[in-house]
Amino acid sequence: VRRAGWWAASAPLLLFLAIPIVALLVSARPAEVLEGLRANEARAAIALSAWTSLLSTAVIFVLGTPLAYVLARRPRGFGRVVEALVDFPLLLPPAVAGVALLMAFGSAGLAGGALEAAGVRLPFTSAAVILAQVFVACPLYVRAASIGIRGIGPELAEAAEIDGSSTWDTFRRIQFPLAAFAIAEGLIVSWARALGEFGATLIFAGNYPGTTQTMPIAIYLGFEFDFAVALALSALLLGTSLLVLLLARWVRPVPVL
Amino acid sequence: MNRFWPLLLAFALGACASEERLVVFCASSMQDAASAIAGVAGVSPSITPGGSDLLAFQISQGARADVLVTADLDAMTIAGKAKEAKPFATAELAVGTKPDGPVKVFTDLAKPGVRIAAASKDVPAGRYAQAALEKLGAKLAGAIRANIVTEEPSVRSALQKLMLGEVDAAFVYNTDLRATELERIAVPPEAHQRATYYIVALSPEGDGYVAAARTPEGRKVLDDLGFGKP
Repeated sequence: VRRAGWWAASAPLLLFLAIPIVALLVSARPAEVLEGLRANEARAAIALSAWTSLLSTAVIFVLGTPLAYVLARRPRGFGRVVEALVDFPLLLPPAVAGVALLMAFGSAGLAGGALEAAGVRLPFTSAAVILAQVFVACPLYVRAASIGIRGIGPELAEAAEIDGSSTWDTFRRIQFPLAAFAIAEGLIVSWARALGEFGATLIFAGNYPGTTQTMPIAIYLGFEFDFAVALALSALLLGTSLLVLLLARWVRPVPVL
Repeated sequence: MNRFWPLLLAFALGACASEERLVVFCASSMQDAASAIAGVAGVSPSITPGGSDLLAFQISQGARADVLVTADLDAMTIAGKAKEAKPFATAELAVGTKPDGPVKVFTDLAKPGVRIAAASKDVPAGRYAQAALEKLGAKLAGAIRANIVTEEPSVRSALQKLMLGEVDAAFVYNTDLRATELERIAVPPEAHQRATYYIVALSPEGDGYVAAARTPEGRKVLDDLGFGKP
């Protein structure tokens, strides 16, 4: 009975979250969505978003797992600084992330000269889209994976190492399998974040159909000239995000985030 | 705790009171002119610059603004104000370049490897650029189109990419280049495009601002910034 009061107090926020989602789904008629998704610009954006976000997630997995491993051992001192640095992109407005990436890897950027000398120009390429996605989405994976690995506790790993197992073998055979659910959840959530990336991409990678125009950018720039396409893409992104959230819950009933 | 609520209420009321500033939505290429006109009108509005179509769409969806300035009539149509809006200034489509960059004459835009920024076709500056390209020979236009690496959400963000050195040239307005170190390359006469800016008051409060833009003083401010007469 006392819970009822809490539910009542929660209702405004719940409604506030639910109404826009319902409104978007209601205003998108299935026939129109399918029609909108058939438009060339929509198809190019969907394809680009799909492959860049998957590749970003792969990069995050390969480069983020060692970092998650390091941070799993309750960091102190310098480790705390590293931990804060990894979380930083979560708090940074994506547009700021885009400017920062441009200042770092753009033609006039810190590393831009060296890259250009090596014949690499990142802005306005699909590679820039991936960099922007990795930048904003990797903290979600590193967090989830490191909390997952930490949750196993050090005893198993220590026992294995006493028995002569290398840390790599210990990780591969013991820690990784035991943390697999947390790692999977981290991958799913960071993939969804990469898929939704907008601000950093627009500033760092620009906007060009097929090369850098991802679904969120197509929605932003396309919404008034062809509202049906924008609505269709929005509905698709929303549906995907909902599925992904449910999938993440199913993979790991007690989320770490 | 009982002291907290009156305080919060006072705060909320204060916030509402300060909301009475005039709100001007203006095409990004007009933002300097918009504040200069505010000086003529004797007001200190809150100016929101952006791509004309995006601003117009926001208005059509109920965004509250007192004045809307767009860089063509299409954008006014989106806002549902095509009938009321009045032309009040013009600008020329131009190509901006870096002084030491690879683009010296217009045809350099077609050279392989040149990187060009344009505004998106969903804002006036992008539509003018496309219209200009359509007037050129198919071969030249095709080669220039192939060098456009990004279609930016507004003409100012295309200009920004040029100022940052990320591109070698950008399709902008002559007026965008005035206060910069950038060089201006004229568009060939056959492809010349003149942008016409439209202004409309969306509330009675906006009338004074719109009137100021059309007074001799307002005209002088626009002249000083390089904008032509409609």
